Amino acid sequence: MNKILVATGFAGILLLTGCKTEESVTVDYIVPPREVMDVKSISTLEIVPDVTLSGSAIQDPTAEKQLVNIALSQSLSSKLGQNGYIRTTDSIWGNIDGVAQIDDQFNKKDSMHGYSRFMTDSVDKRAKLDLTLTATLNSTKVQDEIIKELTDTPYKIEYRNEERVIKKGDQKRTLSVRVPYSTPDKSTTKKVSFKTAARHVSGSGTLSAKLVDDSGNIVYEKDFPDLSYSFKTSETSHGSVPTNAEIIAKMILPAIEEITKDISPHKENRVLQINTKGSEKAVLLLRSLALTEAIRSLDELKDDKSSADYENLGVAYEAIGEYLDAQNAFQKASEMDPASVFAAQCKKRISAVLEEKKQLRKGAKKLETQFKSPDYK
Amino acid sequence: MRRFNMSNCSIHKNKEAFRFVLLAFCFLFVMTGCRTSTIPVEITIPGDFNISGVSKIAIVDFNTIQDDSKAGLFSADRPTVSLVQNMVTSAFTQSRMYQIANLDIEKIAVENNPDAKLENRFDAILYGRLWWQVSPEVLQAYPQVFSLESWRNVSYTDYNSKGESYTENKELTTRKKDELATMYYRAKKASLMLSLSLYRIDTEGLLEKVADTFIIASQGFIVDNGEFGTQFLDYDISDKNDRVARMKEASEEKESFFDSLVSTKKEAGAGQKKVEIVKNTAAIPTDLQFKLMLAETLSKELSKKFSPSKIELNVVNKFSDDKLFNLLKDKAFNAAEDHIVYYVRKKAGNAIADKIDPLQAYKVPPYLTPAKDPETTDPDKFNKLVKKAVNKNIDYLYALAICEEAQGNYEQALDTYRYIFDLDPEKDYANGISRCLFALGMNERVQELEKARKNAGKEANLE
Repeated sequence: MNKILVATGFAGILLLTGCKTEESVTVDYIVPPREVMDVKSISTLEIVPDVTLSGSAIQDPTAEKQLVNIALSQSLSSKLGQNGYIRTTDSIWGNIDGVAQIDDQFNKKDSMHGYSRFMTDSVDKRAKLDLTLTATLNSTKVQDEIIKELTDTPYKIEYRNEERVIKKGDQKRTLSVRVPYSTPDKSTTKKVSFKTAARHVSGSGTLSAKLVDDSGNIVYEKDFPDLSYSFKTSETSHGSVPTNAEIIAKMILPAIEEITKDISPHKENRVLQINTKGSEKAVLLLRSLALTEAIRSLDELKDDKSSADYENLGVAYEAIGEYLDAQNAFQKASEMDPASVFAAQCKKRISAVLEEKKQLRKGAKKLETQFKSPDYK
Repeated sequence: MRRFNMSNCSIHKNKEAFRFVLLAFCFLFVMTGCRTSTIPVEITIPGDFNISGVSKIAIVDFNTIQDDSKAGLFSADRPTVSLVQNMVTSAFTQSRMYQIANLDIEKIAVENNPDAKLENRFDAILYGRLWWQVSPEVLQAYPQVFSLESWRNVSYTDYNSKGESYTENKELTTRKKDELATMYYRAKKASLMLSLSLYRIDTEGLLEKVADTFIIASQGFIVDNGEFGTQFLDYDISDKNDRVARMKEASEEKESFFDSLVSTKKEAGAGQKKVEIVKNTAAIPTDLQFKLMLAETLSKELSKKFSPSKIELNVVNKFSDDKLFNLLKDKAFNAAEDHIVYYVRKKAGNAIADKIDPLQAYKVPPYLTPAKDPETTDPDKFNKLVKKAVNKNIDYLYALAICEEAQGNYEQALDTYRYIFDLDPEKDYANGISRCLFALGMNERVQELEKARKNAGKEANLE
């Protein structure tokens, strides 16, 4: 019995101290848009927001409409700009009036600097994305009732006898002592109601997106019918209530993410399994994301590579974006161990990735403003 | 020897076994979690946008182009706009990547030097827009249960070891009762939305948008029963650098359950609440303070997207050598290197230490009394001794690599990590290799940007 307990204890210790089972590496891919095939035809994009607001939280509909217009278009513009395939026009770029205003700022006669800098707009053709948002923002005072349980426990004092052994030379004497202690008596519990004023803010709405490419064709249409957000001050979340800007941001962000993925090439994370039967060094390096080092380490094995090593080599190449090398490595692994399910899965996956790349090359050109080298190099 | 009757035997055996397990736990706790600290290693990463062809930026007055003043109470007033603009300018200036065209000063410079070409004194413009909103102040209450306890002292007669009686007192609980209290609080929240766009102007005057970024941040304040707290929440629209996050995860990964008990530092990621409780005041800040705090945070965050910035990764310091542990803890990396070189040479002897590659870059300490060199002339035997010395001192060589990495000598650190990983494949060494390769890659990008910036400066006749 005790052996079992000791073994269990050690197993517990092992579990707590670091018996980890990481066998994967997370990799970023640039994948083509989910809906729009020809990204070149929307690479210069004008976002036209149209917002309708209602509800008790709206104090000044005209002013707040402006605010939401900006939040909507700037959120999407920033997200698309980050991906680097689609550039959106704004109050300066693609806008003759805006450029003229900047020119005015630099050329003002009474300005301190008196700069003269000729500027002109470089945008001719553009695609157009209509974003129609209908949102209701409410803020209401509600009466909140919180029920608390209050316990009352009286204690009674009792006595127990304890013995004190007194040693005097070889003689032992026992004395009895009445030691007091307290023990809980029958407790009573009552429920108390606490009424307090709480504030409930909520937002709900719909968003429609319609994208027309630079030749005037509708290339994307989608509705997001269930935008919502809700917050109530309560016992556990007492604090300030969100501003309307915050509510709108929370409502629209999931839809913005979706639209970005639908129309623009974007980054996606995927988890690749590592074959732990391969070279220990390479497995450790892969787990630590030292990907090029893992390739170096596996290359040093030359002809001593096992099927698992080739699989890991493929994973490392795939992770740094060298998909053809990855395909070759997976092919080699599959040839060495035709029964390997892992190698077969990898081969299938890399074929899909190569197909995605082909689509990407055909449909989109990365803007010069982004780094060309893959993230992992 | 104690004897147990049969009926109690298994219980007592179990007790013994439990005691053993408990001891094993204690031992492991002492071994694994008693002392750790972190060693910060910094890596410079480029901004999210590759702004090549830009060297000197003129900042156009924020919120002036096609003014959205109709946004009423949400459009930031002129002083707020100036405040944010100045903070953004300051953040860009501090990043030292781009020159900021100070239009007013340059006007005077050009007046004094008519040969200076005024029209080519910047090659990019930065334009920002901001909006500001404050939620109504909340004055509310919530209930909190407090457990109260009453007691009394009860006297009784006890005896000391000599059998003499004395009066002892004992504090005894007489009642435990929950009471409901009303806790009052005041709270207020402000949001600031800031967008920054950068446009490149080519030599023909053609404008091109090169970067566009937008962030909404909210900051809430609460005075809760006299305690003051603040919450910062940002909704960054852009993607985070996932590689950096994963590097951090790999490098700062807790070694064991016990390490996680020891280390309490946890950094909040984007979109997570960063709650900071400060008790030095009990007042809701003024609107100006709100604006200052939000503007400062946002401008720093956004300028990082345009310019290189530093990230910090924390490597776990768990070296058993007290001196080494403390030197690394206090970031005394040069002194730690001296200590390592001294220690390894002293223990291994100069002849062997000379053959340990990572040590070759360091001078032999003049005050050193090294161990006696081996007498063998057999190269195989000698190499075995070198290998043995490396294995014995591998922790020191690992520390040496960390020291080099922490000082930005990534290539040297990488060589050392590779050297020790080759001999002893360990996760910590693999993490070191990964960090150094990442740092070198990032350096390359930053240099690439710097080169592009210089070229742009030459083209625009700015340097």
